[in-house]
Amino acid sequence: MPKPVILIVDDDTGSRQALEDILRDEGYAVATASDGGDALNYLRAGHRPRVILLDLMMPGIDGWDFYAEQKRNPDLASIPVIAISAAGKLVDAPYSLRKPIDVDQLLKLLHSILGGPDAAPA
Amino acid sequence: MPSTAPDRAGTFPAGWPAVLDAATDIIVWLDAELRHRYVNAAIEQATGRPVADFIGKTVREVDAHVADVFEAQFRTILATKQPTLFEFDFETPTGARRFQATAAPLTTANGDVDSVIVISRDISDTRALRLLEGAILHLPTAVALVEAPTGRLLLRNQPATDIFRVESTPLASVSGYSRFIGFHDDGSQYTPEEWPLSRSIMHGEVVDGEIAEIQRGDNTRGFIRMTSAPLRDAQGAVIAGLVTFDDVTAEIEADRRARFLVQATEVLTTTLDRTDVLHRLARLAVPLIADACFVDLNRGANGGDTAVRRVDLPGFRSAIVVPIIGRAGAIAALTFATAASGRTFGERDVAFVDDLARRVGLALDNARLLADARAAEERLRMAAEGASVGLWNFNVSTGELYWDATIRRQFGVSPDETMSYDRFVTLVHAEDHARIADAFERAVRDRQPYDVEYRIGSPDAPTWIRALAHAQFTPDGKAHRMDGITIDVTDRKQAADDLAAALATRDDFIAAASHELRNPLNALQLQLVGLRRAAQRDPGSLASSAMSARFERTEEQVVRLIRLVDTLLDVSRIKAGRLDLEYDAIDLVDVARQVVQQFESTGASIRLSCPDAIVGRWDRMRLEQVLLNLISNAVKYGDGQPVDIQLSLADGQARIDVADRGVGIPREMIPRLFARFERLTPDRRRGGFGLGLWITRQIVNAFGGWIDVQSVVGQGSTFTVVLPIA
Repeated sequence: MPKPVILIVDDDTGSRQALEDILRDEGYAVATASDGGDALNYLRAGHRPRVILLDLMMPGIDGWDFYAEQKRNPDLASIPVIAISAAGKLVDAPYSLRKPIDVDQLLKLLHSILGGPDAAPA
Repeated sequence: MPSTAPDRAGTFPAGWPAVLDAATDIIVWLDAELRHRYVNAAIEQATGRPVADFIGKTVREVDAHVADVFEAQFRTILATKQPTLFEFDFETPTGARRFQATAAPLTTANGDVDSVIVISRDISDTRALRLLEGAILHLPTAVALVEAPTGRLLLRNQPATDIFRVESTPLASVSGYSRFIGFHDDGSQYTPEEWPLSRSIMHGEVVDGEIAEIQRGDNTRGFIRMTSAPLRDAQGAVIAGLVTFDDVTAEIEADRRARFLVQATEVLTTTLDRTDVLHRLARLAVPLIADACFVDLNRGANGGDTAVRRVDLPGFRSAIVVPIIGRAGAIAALTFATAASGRTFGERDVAFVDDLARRVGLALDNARLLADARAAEERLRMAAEGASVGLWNFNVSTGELYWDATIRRQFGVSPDETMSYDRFVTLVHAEDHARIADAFERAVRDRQPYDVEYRIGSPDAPTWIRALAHAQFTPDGKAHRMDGITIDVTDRKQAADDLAAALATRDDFIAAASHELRNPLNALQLQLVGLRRAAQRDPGSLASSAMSARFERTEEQVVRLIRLVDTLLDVSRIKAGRLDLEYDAIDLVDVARQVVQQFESTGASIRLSCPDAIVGRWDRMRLEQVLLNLISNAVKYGDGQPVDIQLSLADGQARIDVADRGVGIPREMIPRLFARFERLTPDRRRGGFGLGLWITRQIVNAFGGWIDVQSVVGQGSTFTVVLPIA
């Protein structure tokens, strides 16, 4: 059974890598993008992650732009997004976390969305 | 007139009746019963009644009132047997007349009074003259009556003598008038013929109120006012002349003093200079109140008497020394003296000059205070002009507005224009009208200080004016005026705006700095949490090579944080002038290679072109920081294109060119490029403090070098640093 893929979108390399390490340790597959543009390219290439961890404050296409674009595309709109931000907020995002990220809270949230790293695709 | 009367014929000697009838006096012979035995013809003239009306009748039968008088006189005569002199009134067809009468008894051989002779004379007219003479003699006004044309003195009263103090009798002719000394206005002496009285009797002139200065018999001087007229007989010939005159010395002197005071006041109000004032007063005093006047300006220096006093001055008849007393004591003295005029100063003169001295002292004091006040006002005005402070004054009740030159310049109003509140309002931006009205209302109603700022001038670049004032109130509590100032506060407003902008920039910086610090902190925290969880799951896994890479990345975040904190500390150090440099022999090429190496892991393409070595004396860490900042900027804004670094040495100077092919910098941004907190991109998410280039320039300047940039938007930027090698 393939591991569920989680897309991390964050311009800060350090945060991105640390988050990636944690999620891999938890048994998730991880894809990364350094900004909204990267992430859209990844999706347009046909990849369908199970959850998108989206940092809002990014250069280039930021979290808000990415989210708006994702919602406009019916193929992509259903992918759950967890918005991560220090200050801003994604008004209609179903899930959001504040920086610094509480890892336990993040993992519980992922678990509730996916039913755990090993659960079958919904 | 009957020439005889039957009863009288045998009584008088022949021829007597004709003589008696020719007499102008009334002659009556009364018997012991006061029955008329004889009356002469004069009685008809006096009473208008014929002689026959009297003969044989008693006095009482003729006139009851006269009878009372006659009976009383007769009783006296009976008792004394002596003649009596008396007067009585008698009603005649032409009115009541007064008669003077002498009654004498006729006695028999044995001494009995058997009849009375009464001789009466109508004295009605001469009595009036006698009364008039008596009245004249007692009149307070001087009167003299002279005969024309000789000028012989007929009558003069006591005041006439008192005024001239000259013996006036005997005085037989006009030429004798030379004893009276008088002067015309022009100072020339009256000739005897020039006196009004002489003119009246010689030419029939009527003179009304002519004034002459006189020198009295005791050599004192005075003034008289004369009125004279001729007296004419029935044919119109001048038979006499009458003059009346009054001593008007007090009046004239009071008038002269008043004129002097008026002119002195004019001097005091038009001249501020002490010396000038006193000299002009001295000139005025002669001849109005003295024949000579001296100014002593040294009075203040030697203190001197402060009391007005009369003194003896050799060569002068009379003198008064008048100290001029100011706030600080005697400041000068005036001496008034008389000589030729023959005047002598009296108590009245002393009182007058004393009053004058006080006025002069006060005026000179006031003049000095005024001069001081004017000087102060001038200083204030100059200070105000120097400080660009406008002065204004507003009359609340009339709406009149005074503006000085400075405020007119501030508002661009011509010096000639009449100002008013309404005109002022038209010069102010409409948006500020309400603020001014509010401030004004508070000032005049609530007695608050008037302090308001408003805009004038062009809407795009307004001039800001701050106006300050206090309203002045009348005793009944009504605001009547405001004295205020205006200050052009445009610069201050600009400074305030600049400060606000600087504060906004700092706020931006703090926000950016927080973001910059938060990213590595967030990463660090996540990595530590990840490592902890991994260790909990499998303590042995920490030793794996995979874990070693994660520790390295964790350390990287710590290094990143240290760099950021160092940057902030650098700012503080530079601002405090504590950028301590440790100079050493450093190879720039070596440092550049090491910095470029740091960027290899990022995948950026950096090309270094340089000689083998460029050695100079620099601080190695700071030189590294300069290169790091320039290269990281080039990478950050280089749009992923290669960055070219060129190092060269020429004329003892090392040159560093860092060129990118990125977005470029708009020309207008370049001046702000090296400013603190400036990050030229509006996109704050590009990160960074915006301090890099500022710190770089500070370091370069500390090395004695310079930094510049050439940039074309869309083609990229080239930063150039030139550093002396020693």
